[in-house]
Amino acid sequence: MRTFVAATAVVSGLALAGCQTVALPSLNLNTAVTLNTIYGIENAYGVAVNAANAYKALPLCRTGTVPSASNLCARRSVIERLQAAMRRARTAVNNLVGLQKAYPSVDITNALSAAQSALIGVQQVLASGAQ
Amino acid sequence: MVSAAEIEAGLAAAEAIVSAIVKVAPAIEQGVISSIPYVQAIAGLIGGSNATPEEIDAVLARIDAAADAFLEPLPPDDGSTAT
Repeated sequence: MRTFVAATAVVSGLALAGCQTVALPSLNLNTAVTLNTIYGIENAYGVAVNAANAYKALPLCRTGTVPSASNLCARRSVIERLQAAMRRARTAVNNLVGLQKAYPSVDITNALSAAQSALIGVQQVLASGAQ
Repeated sequence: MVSAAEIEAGLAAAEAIVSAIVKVAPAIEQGVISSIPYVQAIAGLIGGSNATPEEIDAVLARIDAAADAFLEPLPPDDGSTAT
């Protein structure tokens, strides 16, 4: 359930970040849309980080056991894969924010795609940990 | 017809599940509570609010700190948690 809620929130954030087409009450529409896009990605990243931390806080599964309803535990291999994915997501989201700050009028499409892909990677590892 | 033994077995299974959930409840609860502001922010954007550069910086700093905590290595495996 927890994983489902986290996954839904991540997907909502990513979807939101991908479709900012609503007219906004701002003098500089491009900037407002860019900021909202980045903020959506950022909050999806926040949900993913919290889900990852909640997973890591579970006791590690004992060798030879698997997670189940009566054995709530985290697999070491999943945490390690999650850490690798999270490292990529952290870099990608920070690159996105840094790029927009340094060059507010530059096209952020590539950095945005990189951040979205990295977060989808985190989400996929999280989903695999729930199985 | 369900036998008493089957009911007892069912109760024992239920007890094990509840016991396991209670043991890890603080971690689950913390994860859910910590995610609320992010979910609310996403909902706000959907509702039409606009983000500011200051918000973006403050939120990113907070999330990066949580990500750094997550990226702390696990204790080495002594063979008992090789999963």
